[in-house]
Amino acid sequence: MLVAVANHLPPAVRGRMKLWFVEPRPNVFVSGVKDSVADGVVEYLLDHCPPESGLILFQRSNKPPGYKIRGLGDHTRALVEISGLQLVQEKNGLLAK
Amino acid sequence: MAKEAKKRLFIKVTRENLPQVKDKYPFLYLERGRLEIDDSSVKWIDCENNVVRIPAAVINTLLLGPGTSITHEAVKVLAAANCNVCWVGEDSLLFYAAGQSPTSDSRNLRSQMLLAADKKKSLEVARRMFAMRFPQEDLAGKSLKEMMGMEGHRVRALYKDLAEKYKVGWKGRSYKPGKMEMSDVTNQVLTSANAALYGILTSSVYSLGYSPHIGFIHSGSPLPFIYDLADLYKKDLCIDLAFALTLEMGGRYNKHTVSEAFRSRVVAIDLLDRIAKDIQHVLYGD
Repeated sequence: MLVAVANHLPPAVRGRMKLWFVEPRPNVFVSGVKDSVADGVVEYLLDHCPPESGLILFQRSNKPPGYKIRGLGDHTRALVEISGLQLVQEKNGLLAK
Repeated sequence: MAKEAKKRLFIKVTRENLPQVKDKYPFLYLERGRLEIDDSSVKWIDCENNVVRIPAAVINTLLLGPGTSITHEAVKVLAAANCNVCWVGEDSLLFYAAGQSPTSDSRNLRSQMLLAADKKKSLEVARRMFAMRFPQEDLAGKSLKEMMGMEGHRVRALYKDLAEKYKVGWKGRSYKPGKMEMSDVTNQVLTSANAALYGILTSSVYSLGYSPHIGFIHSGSPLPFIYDLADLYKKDLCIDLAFALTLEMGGRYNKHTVSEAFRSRVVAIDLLDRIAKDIQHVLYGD
């Protein structure tokens, strides 16, 4: 299982993504690929998306917590890690003065 | 407004929609910040005002370090989500609080009590615990005292072997509550790794419906069953780690290195999954 959320994607990449993904909402992509195929797709996206696409990728893993998160460029919400658990930061305190 | 039945917005947390202990993330360590509830979920605000939501239902334990505060409502929600809370200090004196949801039953607690109350069965449980740690020893017919003496001897030898393996000076185990920084680095790592292990075990034991207070080898201490179980995992998780890290940290204690290394070992041996199986094995011998 692979879920990708983006700010905006270049049309070429977007079209290419739909080989694996369905797009239920603009810039939200869901796919059932797994294992090494999913790894390959993730690598492909991280290599070919420009930083301004602001991509966050959620990939299923079989170890707790059950997912791996990868981010690319400015994806509006920061990714943090607490005790090795990847979480999404909702507010960045140093900016929100 | 039309007169249609209003849908309840509030999702009730029941046991059916909570994951099993073995599928949870073992623990998060939080310090210097605040846990509160907002829109009925748990919100962590750290000392720089960063806000992170904590998916409490998929986490086994929150270890709250120094400088944390937690609201009444947060404790209520964590208890409902079967996520335990332990307070750990920098000197690693462990206090704990356990939220138990009223839906859990006491069948397991009852069977643990019955085993502990029966001298013969209780000795059998203790023997299975020792057998897990020393599979090559013949424990048949040995009394609890004999097995404990044998264990003390083995553990001291283990300390010495590891000290030689990692080339670390070792003057023996010393632990003085509240005087953590007075002991050497190896002892400091041991103390803090042990405390974290006790925290995880306490919370898993509660989540599985057993009591930390009814032990089979240890007795009289505050959490005998926890110390019993901790001994099953200490060799790899704490003792080997302490000597390995002493070498790596070059004699300067660094708590981030310690908690990082400890956590990766916990995840590597899949501790939460093992606890559930091991308790089953030592109590009922299947």
